Amino acid sequence: MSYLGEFEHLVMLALVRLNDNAYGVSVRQEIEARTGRDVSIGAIYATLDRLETKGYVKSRFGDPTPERGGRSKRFFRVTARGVEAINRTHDAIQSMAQGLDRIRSLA
Amino acid sequence: MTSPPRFALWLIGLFSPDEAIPGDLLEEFSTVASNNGTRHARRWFWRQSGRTIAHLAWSQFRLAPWSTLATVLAGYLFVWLCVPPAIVKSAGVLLGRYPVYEYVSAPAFWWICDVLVGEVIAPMLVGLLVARLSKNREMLVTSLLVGAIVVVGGTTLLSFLWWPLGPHSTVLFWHTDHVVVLDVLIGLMLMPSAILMGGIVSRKGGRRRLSIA
Repeated sequence: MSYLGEFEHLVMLALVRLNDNAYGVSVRQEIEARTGRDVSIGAIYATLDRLETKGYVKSRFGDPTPERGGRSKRFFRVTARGVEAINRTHDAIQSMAQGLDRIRSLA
Repeated sequence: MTSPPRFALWLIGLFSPDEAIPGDLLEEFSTVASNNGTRHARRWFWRQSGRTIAHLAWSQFRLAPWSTLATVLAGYLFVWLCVPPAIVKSAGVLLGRYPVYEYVSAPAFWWICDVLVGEVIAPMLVGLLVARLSKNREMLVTSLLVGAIVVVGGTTLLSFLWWPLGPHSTVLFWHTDHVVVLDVLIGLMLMPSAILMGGIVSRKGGRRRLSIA
């Protein structure tokens, strides 16, 4: 039973949000728009490849498009194991954060 | 129509496992260029390319660190163990078949053999071989091998150049024979380029076979 790393968690949540339109550019932009983090495409793909090896995501190639110089998009989607991993990580974080709101307000 | 830096795009293509990453960068380049202008977009592209290559190289290394290091070490040993015999062997073949010394002096012939075989052909074959041994990590392995050769070769050269002269110094010729120093410098430039070329040939060849299949 393993948990997602911080960046893996962000990428997985971006995939869930983007649903059928999750590919390198859209994932990068989603993370940048919601967290303000300027991440490189390489970081996104390195994480996605690692998640695919773990069986948390699956990928497929789309059709080549002219604005991409005739290159295909690689679409990603979260698998059932991936959903389990997201929930497990969420539960762990929520459990750890429970009751800490008051402490933070006192700081 | 604005185009991204071709060299950066080519480099990305060498390190990325498929065409999706260069495609993503091209797509975003068009958006950045239309929003912020071509100059900004080209700078953005270079920055993204550098960071992307670093990430890809690191993730390729993390995937198989020991086999990567073993291949680099094998390549390194192969360069130093097999290149000198290759020079002698190829020179021997040429001398056996053709009256070489009638056309060119012995030192010039051996220098040409040393440069052509020892610093171009044999290292290129080593680059090709290590790249073949490390599928999908061709450029990482050849780059690490080149890095090792440049660091060790460069350090050795510098230490020889700065070695204090003494009555029993065995490295006196490094201080006096500039031709030797120049020869080593040429080797330090040619050999890494040839190894990288071998890696690139293997990478591009592998891609072509993949697309035909």
